Amino acid sequence: MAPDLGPYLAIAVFLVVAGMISLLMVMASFVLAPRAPDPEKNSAYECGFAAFSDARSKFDVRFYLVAILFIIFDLEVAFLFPWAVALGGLGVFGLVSMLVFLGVLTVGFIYEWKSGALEWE
Amino acid sequence: MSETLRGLYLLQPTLFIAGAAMLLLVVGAFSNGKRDLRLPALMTLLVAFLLQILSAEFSTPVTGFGGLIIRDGLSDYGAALLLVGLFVSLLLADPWFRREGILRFEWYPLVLLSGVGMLLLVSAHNFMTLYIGLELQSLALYVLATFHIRDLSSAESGVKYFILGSLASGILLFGISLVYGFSGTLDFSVLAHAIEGQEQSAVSGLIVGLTLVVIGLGFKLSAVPFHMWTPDVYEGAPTPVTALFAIVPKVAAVIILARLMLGEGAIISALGVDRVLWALSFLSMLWGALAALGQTQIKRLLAYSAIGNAGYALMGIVAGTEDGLAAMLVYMTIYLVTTAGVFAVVLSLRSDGQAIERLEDLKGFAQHHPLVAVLLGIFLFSLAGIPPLAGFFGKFYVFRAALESGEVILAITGALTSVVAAFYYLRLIRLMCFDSGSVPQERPIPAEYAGIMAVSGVLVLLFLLAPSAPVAFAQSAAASLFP
Amino acid sequence: MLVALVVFLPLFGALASGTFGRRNRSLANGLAVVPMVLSAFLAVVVWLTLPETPIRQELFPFIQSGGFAVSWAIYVDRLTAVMFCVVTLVSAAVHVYAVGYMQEDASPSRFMAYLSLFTFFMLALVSADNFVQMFFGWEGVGLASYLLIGFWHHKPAANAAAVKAFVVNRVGDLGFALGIAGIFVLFGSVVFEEILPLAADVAEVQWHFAGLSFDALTVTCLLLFIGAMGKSAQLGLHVWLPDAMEGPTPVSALIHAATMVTAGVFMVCRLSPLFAEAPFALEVIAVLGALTAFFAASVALVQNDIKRIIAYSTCSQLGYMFFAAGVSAYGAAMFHLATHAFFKALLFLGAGSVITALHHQQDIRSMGGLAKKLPWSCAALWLGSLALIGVGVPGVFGLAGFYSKDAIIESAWAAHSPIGSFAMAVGLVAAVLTAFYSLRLLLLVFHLPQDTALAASVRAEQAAAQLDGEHSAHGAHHHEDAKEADASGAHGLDSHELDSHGSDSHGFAGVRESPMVMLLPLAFLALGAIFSGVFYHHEFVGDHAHEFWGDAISLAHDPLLEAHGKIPFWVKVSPLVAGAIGIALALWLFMRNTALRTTLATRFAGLHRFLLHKWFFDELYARLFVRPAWRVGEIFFHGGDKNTIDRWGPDGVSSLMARSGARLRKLQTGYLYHYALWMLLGLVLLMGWILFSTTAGAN
Repeated sequence: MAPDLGPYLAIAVFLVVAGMISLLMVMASFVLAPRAPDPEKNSAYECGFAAFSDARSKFDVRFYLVAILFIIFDLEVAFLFPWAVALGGLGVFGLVSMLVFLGVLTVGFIYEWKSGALEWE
Repeated sequence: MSETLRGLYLLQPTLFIAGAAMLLLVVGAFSNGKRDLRLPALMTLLVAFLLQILSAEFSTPVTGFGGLIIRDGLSDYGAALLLVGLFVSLLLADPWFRREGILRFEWYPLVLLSGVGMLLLVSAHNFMTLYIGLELQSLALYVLATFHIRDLSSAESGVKYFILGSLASGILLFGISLVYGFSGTLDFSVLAHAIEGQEQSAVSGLIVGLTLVVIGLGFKLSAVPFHMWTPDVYEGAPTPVTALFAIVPKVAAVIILARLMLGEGAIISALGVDRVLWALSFLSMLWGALAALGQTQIKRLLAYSAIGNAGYALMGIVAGTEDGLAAMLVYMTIYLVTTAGVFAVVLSLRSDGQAIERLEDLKGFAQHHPLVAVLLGIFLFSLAGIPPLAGFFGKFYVFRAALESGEVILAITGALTSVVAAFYYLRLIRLMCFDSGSVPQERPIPAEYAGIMAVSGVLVLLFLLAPSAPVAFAQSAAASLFP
Repeated sequence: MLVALVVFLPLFGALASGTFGRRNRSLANGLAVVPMVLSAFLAVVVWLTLPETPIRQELFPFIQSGGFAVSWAIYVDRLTAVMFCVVTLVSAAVHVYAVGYMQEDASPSRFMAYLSLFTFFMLALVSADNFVQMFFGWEGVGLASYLLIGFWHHKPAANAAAVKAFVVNRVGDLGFALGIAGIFVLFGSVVFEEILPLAADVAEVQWHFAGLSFDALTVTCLLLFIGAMGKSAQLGLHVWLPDAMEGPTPVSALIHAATMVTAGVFMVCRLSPLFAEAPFALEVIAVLGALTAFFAASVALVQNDIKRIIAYSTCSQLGYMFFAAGVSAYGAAMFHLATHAFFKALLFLGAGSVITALHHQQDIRSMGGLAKKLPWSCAALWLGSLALIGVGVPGVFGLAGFYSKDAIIESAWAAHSPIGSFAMAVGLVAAVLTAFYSLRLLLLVFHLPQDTALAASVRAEQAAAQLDGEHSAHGAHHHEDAKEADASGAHGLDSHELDSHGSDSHGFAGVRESPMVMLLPLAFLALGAIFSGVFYHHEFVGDHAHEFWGDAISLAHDPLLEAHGKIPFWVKVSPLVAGAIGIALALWLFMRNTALRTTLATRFAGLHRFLLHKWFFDELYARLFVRPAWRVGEIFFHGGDKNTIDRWGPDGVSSLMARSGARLRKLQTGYLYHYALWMLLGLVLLMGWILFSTTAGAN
């Protein structure tokens, strides 16, 4: 029952070599590159203008909510396409199953609608 | 088709709850949360309990949906325990939420949906079912942890639980995919057969996969070293949610672990992965006892207590025998009853309109609420495993099973950590009884809490009188894995 | 029923007085005294109505283990009946006396309860029908003795004395316990009735140990005698008895004179059929008894503490009893035991009366000329002393000691053995000494004028000792003892009491005779001291001995009975003559030629010191046993317990737990990424372990 790790040896070698090469490159840039930093060089470059505001701006949490709701229905469609293609072979069982699935989704949809998740204000 | 019908029949309590949960969700949404859903939710659980009992098939295991699910003594015992636990959790939550003014109708569907997940988990006979059950349970619990949305610590605990839980789910899923990749099946019994005729090279892949699965489940069980979320989440979540976390999900997790370890083909132990469980048990007992020593928050203390108790329960599984499994089931049952009592007391603690969460505030508690203090004392003594209370028997059975199957180190560790753990339980009692404090406790205690305290107290006290009945139940449940 | 009442009434009294008498002094006294007097009355009834065959009343089974069966049973034969009477009568007298003596004590109920409890244990001891029950009583009286010696627990000396008594008795008890074990090995039983008739059968049994063989019965008897030595303060294990005088005087009278210390004699007599088969053991007993008689009497010559003198006298008289037993004269031993109980209790209670009158002054050097002040106490002490010396006219009348001591000396003579002759010679010398120290005490206390200079120096000495004691108490026990010492004012023991009552120098102006409640018991005991000898000598040691004792003690080899009264006249009068010599010497030295006293003391300074320091037994034991044991104990305490067991055991483990708990808690940082890292670390380690171990297992 010994785990045979032999086939993975190549991967291990690859990982080590890759790691060393990337490390080497980073180190090389540190060692070789000339560095003469000044405040201008260190500041953010924004099309020649001084920065107007912090790049990390807040955005409305409602976008996040809509995105989540979108994903749910997106996934629903991702299920529906293969189901539609294979429906001929699945028969009544497949139809009923998908109806149940859609029913459950509908319940969720009703809930989010009634609790106002779909309204921007 | 008949296979599907049988599956539906076998799953009827679970499906019933699922349907009821969705119905409650819609009703709640349409009534804008005005309608009180407590009674329907409780009734749902009651009906599900009856359905589970009435359709119980203790004699031979039956599979459904082409082997996706199984109903046997173990799943029925687990389901019954889960339903009782959910019922108690619902009872416990209501007065507290109402007093805090944060009760919303989503509470009921969410609890019910997490229940659906747990019920699926205990009757899983396929890694797919296992994963779906676990995720369904977890998703509902993530939301519940953040249930007090205006409270920062509640939100924090929910996020922590969610992210670490996702990590654990990822680990689990990766493990499942490895298992599938190396064996070509997700069905437990097929996998068991596949393991027997495995190639050498494929076995190590299975070992890795199953180890990952066990670790993923260990997270849900809050077994060390995958327990780090537990104290933070227990502390941050609203106390009734903590009670739910402490009482219910662990039952589902240990039962599915037991099925993997001891069920058909003994999937885990056949490959030596049971040593992971051994390590989890050992570390959990140790960590749960030691780290709890200096805690100042009641809920954190109970979190470490839960971690330690997970270790004791795992010991019963590691024993690997029918007696060990039965001992584990008895242990979990007693733990559920005792913990319900402890949380009934903890939830009833209030002063100046605020819930008490620090140990210090318990000082002098015995003077203000002597009866409640006595009950809490009984629960704590039981958790500490002091005879003749129920907790002693729970530990005794587990230790005995472990010793009989030669797990001497685990049994000794268990006994020693029980001693250490007794210290912090007793410290609580000392605080209550011998230190003087002037925090007046609010009266009256809600009837739900009084009732649960009383029932738990009586059960813990009187277990001594008739230990044979619950043990017999557990044994017949355990026997279903040892045909 | 009657016998059970005799035994259990004192227990009832102890419980009742100890429980209900805490608040009320008269209740405490009454609840203890009434049952005790009742018990004494019933004991007399038992004595008078004693049937031919022994009474045996089984109460309930005690231990059943394999072939070992023991019951609680009350066994009353003549021997027990004698002890019943002695114990209950003296105890009743002492109870009554204690009512007066402890009048000013703070905790009368505790005292009375202990006293009654002691009586119960003593009665349980003498009425035992087996060794285990006897051992129960044996240990019980030891406990009661410990509690009563240390009754004034604020006095460091009393505590030390109590501990000493307890520890020394442990040595004896070890012998006793081993002896019981030996008995069980030999006979397979511990019940007297089953063992004693079989003594002759096992006389030849040998035990082999370390290549040597020992006569089993002799070894067993010697072990039992070691037990008796401890309890009865025989030479070697006597050191606790004088110190035990730190207890209240009623305790000294009851426990350390009349009853408990005679338990050893009683035990030897109870087992006389056994000892009869172990002649070597008997010889040891006789020699040790005689030596004790001489040793204690010699020490008593020079002691200054009134109670200690009487204590050494007790020790000496116990030696008489043992050498009587050693020459097989068990009847004489028991007779002396009984008479001695009365006159020695009388002496102690009389001394106690003097001590209370002088506010707990016990040093006879600071007394003098008290005869007029304390006429009744004086009479009691005189009577007791004369009974002790054994004054009487042969064939006509004599005080109690006259008959019993005579019987012992005659028995020793009649034994016609070297040991017997030796015992007799030593006994006679001791008798001279007895008379001398008794007279010395009487004269110094009552008749000679007080030596004021000496008294003052004694008081100064005492005050210094008191201070010293308090200082050491402070040093050893911090402040608690100091507080108690302050509180002890009630007992009249503080130095200022001694000073304020230093009115001695004015001729004891404030000294008054004791109250009636203390004098009545004196009168009662005086009756016993006068008449117990003359009334009962025929029964105990005379012509009626056979009917009187029955099978209670072994009379087979009793030298006195074998001699059939054919004792030469010189033997009969020799104790009397010895007493007379002692008296005359004392009178001469103290009344006539007082200068010679000092001359002798300086001339034989070494001897004087030797006697004053009690033959240096305490110093010897301190060097041989106490200090080494102390040092070993220190090593074990510091090195073994504190530094090893505590450090690595309870303290170490608990602090390790707390520390590791704190360390584990530090891992709980609250940062998500730490938690995730821990999970992954755990995963990697577990995975590595599993993979490694499965690989290793396969290879």
